[in-house]
Amino acid sequence: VIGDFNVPVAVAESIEAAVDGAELVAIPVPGSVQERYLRMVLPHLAAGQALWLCQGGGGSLLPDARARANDLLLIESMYIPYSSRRTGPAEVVVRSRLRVPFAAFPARRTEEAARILGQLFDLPRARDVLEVAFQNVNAIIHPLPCLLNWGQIEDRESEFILTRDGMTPKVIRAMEAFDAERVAVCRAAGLSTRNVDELYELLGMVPPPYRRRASAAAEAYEDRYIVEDVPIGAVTFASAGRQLGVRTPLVDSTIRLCDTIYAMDSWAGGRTMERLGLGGLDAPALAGALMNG
Amino acid sequence: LAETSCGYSNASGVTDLRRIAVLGAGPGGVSTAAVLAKRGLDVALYTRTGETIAAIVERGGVETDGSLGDGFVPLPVVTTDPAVALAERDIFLIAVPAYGQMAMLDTVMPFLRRGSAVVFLTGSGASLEAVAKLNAKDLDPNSDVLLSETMSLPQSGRFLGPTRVRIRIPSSKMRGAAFPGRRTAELMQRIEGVLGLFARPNVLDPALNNPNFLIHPAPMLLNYAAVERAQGQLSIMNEGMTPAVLRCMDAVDAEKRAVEVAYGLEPVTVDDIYREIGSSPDIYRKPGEPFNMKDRIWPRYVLEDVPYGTVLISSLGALAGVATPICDGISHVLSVAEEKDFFALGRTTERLGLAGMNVAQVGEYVATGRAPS
Repeated sequence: VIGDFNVPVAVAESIEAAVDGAELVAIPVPGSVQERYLRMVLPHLAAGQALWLCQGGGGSLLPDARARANDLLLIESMYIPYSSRRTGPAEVVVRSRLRVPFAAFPARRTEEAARILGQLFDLPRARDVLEVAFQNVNAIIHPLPCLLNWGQIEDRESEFILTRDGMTPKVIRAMEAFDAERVAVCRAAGLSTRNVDELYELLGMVPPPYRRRASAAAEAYEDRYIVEDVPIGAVTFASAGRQLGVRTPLVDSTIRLCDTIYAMDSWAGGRTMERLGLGGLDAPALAGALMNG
Repeated sequence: LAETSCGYSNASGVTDLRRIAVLGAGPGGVSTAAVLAKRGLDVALYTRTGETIAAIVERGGVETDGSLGDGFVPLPVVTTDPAVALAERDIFLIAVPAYGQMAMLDTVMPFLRRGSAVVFLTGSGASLEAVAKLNAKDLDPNSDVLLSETMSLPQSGRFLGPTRVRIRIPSSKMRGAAFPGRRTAELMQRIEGVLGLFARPNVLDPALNNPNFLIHPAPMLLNYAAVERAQGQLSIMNEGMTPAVLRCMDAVDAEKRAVEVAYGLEPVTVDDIYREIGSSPDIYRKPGEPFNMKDRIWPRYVLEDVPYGTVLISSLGALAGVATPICDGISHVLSVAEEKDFFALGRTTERLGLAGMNVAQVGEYVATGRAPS
């Protein structure tokens, strides 16, 4: 969608060299390795630089990042602003632009973030990074639909395309019930109550991928649909639900069964509200903490 | 029958005066009736709707293959008329899915007398739910009507045609018990030659060990979309049992065993249950078709095995303070997917008449029939 280009890209030999003097440092890696990248990059960043976690998930609230919230400008977006795929060693196909919501932490600095990102993209602003985290569509469309297709996914390994093979009417209905629990948590937290269809509208993907026959560009199942989207995603809004008195039985059930499938413990390893430094706060206190840091 | 070790005891050679009614004309009921008729017992087959039995009535019986050998077994009384099938019967074998058991008991109720024996084949706790119904008719399960249940059907049966059934009789006896458990010895005497049971301390043991409840819910959830797409034409035990599916199934089994331990029952793995009934865990752990027939999905794999299986395990667990997150999760996800509240529809401790009791009181109740005052 951005046309055919040969784009010269300078490849740095070290992290120091890559970030030295950069106004904006983007970390577009999946959530599961985001913490590792944060640990590598943070020591080399100097005051005044902006650090953008493209697949935010609340990463700026983790202790190491949060400690730099004043001298750096921490920005999170829901996802990378493109739907893209690497098709060769030095070739990338950009399928569509995504209008991913973004915010800074603390949110009183979102205006500063907009001045930087606005030069590059046209993106909508979220109230704060928690709203960004709760709007992660992958955490909505992946875990439960993958559970309901698990036998096929495991049987066919890398050939299962969720949006092509897995989104039956009943699966979509179950996913909507899952999403309704997430929306209830958002409502209790005073955050945007857009449902999954409305989030895809916001992203500019209409109809959403689960309501159309997948194109050839659709990607096959990957472990991160569960290994990432449950502990960084579902666990976050389930944990917020507990904190705010909103029951999320379907999300809880999904987490438990996904954990059984992958023999993991998403509550222990995942981004709970406690882990994000937001434990015990009610809705107004949450809004305040996220606004002011 | 030639087998001495099978679920049916050998006839003593003396003319048997007991009159038996089998209720339910699905594969379970028809094969039960056929096995008993073949043994020369006086058996009537009752069902609520005529369509399923029209061909059998016309033919006057069923053709069998499998454990009974190839041949025709006459069934002289096959009817939808309760008065014809149920009057003056001594033993009532109820062979319907769990969700039909209480309706069938209502049909039987007018024909129960002191001394009647009711056996829920594949009980799933039905005998406990039946207590209140009996009490309402001034029948006392402690002395009048003998209530009991088995873990599973005494044989497996599959229809090959409207009047043709393939029967496989396992090499060992099904778990079973009476309610109260102290009457199990009496039950064994009363049904000797009709059903051979592996006597258990109380009905919770056969109720919790229904193999379907242990092997169906997790695989059905984790293959849900495939079942939907295939419109039931999926051999789930052959095509759907990937390693992680088995891991979830085993997690259900582990929760079931924790519940057994809490109630003082001897815990048994699902694999050992399959070995015990002369089958094999290979049915679900290895490819290949049981019966040499391509299996298919039946709606009851969810509609029965969740509300009467995982919900029962969860509910008994909750009473005993045993956490059952996997069973809870499966029941919940499938409730949402099916748009049915299986926790509300299912066989919980409330429906079993156990609500308000603690574990020790439940143990006392199922053993002696005495509820805490």
